[in-house]
Amino acid sequence: MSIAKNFALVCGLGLLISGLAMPAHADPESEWVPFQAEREPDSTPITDLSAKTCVEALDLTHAQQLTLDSDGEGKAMLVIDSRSPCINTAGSKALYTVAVLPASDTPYAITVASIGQNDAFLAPHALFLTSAGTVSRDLPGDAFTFRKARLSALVRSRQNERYLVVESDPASVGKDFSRVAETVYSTYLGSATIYSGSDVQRNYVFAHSGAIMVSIAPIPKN
Amino acid sequence: MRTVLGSIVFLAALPLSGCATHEIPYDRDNANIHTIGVVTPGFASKAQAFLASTVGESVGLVGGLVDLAMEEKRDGQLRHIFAEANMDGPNEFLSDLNAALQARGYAVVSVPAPSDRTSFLKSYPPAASADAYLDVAVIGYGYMAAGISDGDPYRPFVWLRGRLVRASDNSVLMQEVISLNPLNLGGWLGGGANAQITLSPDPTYRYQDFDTLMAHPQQAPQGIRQALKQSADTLANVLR
Repeated sequence: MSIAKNFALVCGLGLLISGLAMPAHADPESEWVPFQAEREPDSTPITDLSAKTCVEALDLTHAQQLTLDSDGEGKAMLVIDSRSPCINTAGSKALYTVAVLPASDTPYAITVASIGQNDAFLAPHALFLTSAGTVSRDLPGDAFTFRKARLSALVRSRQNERYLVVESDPASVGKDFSRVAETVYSTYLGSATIYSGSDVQRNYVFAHSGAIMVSIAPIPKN
Repeated sequence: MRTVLGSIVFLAALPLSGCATHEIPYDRDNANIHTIGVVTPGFASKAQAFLASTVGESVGLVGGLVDLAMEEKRDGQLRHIFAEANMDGPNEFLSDLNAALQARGYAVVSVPAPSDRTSFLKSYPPAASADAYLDVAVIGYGYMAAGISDGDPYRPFVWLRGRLVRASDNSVLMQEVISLNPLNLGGWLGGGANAQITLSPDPTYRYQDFDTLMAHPQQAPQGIRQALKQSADTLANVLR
C-alpha cells in the first residue's frame, strides 16, 4: 500500500472514531437544568438568613429515608428552601435537611450533589452522624468538586453512620464563581456531518438554598 | 507519518481509554495509607493545540488531511513557545503532585515507570516503603478551542485518570477521571455512574484564536502550568 493510501486510511479511521465520539446535539446546558424534586425549591436563591429563627440542635426526627433497589442502588432528591429548618452554627445560621442512610453489610458509594438552579448552587456542607447523633464525618465545602455539572462529594459508606445531614455553608454563601462548558455538536445533513463548537461561560452564586441529589451505588470492583 | 499517527492516536484514545474507568471513592480513615509510591505519570503525548471541531472534518477526507497538517503545525508552534519558557509538563506535574500529597500529610517515594502510556500499569515495581501506589495517566493536555468561531477561544485543558492501589493486595482504593476543561462535559472520556471530576479552566488564560495564543509566549505556558498544578492538587484532594 502506498504511503498516500496508508495516510488516507489512517485519517479516515481517525475521523470516523472522532465522529463516533461526538454525541449529536450534546447539550451541556441540559446538565444545568435542575432535576425535578417532589417539591420545587424556591425560585429565588436564599442568601440572607438574618430574619430566620434558628435552633441549636439538629432535628433528626423528620429525616427522609433513603432506600436501595435490588441492584443496590438508590436516588433521592432533597430540597433546602425557605421551609427548611435552620440551625445556629459557629456564629452563623445555616439551613439543613436530613436523610437516613440505608443499612448494608457491604460499603457502598454515596454521591452528595448540589444541583444548579437559577444560576445558583446550594453551598454544600455535609455531616455523617451515628444513630446516636454523634458526628462521624464532616465534609466541608472544599471536599466538594464538580462532577460533570453537579457540585459533588463522593464517599464510601461506613457501617456506623446512620444519618446524612446536608447544610448550607454560611462562609461560602454569596460568593460567585464561573464555569466554562466546551461542546462540539454534530449535525447530519444528508450524507454529510457538520461539526461545530460552542464555548459558554456562565456565572453562579452560592446560596443557602437549592436541590441536592443523593445517589447510592455499589462500589465498582474494577 | 509518525507524527500524524500520533495525532490520530490522541483522538482515538480518548473514548477508548476512559470507558473502563469507574470512580471508586477513597476512605482515608480506614485505608491506613501513610506512604504513597508515586509512579512516574504516563503522558499520552506532548502538549497539544487541539481544535475540537473544524470545517475540514465536516467536508470529508481531503478536509481532514488538511486539518491534520494544520494541527501538526499548531502543535509544533505551541511546543516551541513551551520549550522557550523551559516548561516541562510531565516533570512539573509530578513535582506538583508530590507537593500536593505531602501537603495533605502523606510521605511520598518515587516509583520509576515508563511514561509513554495512556493507561494504568498492569503491575507495579517494588517500592519497599510504600503502602500504596498512585498511578496517573495524562490522556491529553495543552490548549483547546471548541471551534473556529470568534466565540470559541483557546483555553488550557488537562485530562487524566488516576488510581491508588494498595501495595499489599493490589486492591484499588481510589480511582478517578479528572478533566480540566472537559469537552462535552467529559463525555469523550467515559466514566462510571458517579461521574468524573470536571474542573473549569482559569479564565485568565483565554485566547481569542491561535494567533493570539502565540502572541503571548510568556503567559500561555503559565496557563498550562497552572492547569497541571490544579489537576494535581485536585487528585491529591481526593485523597484528603
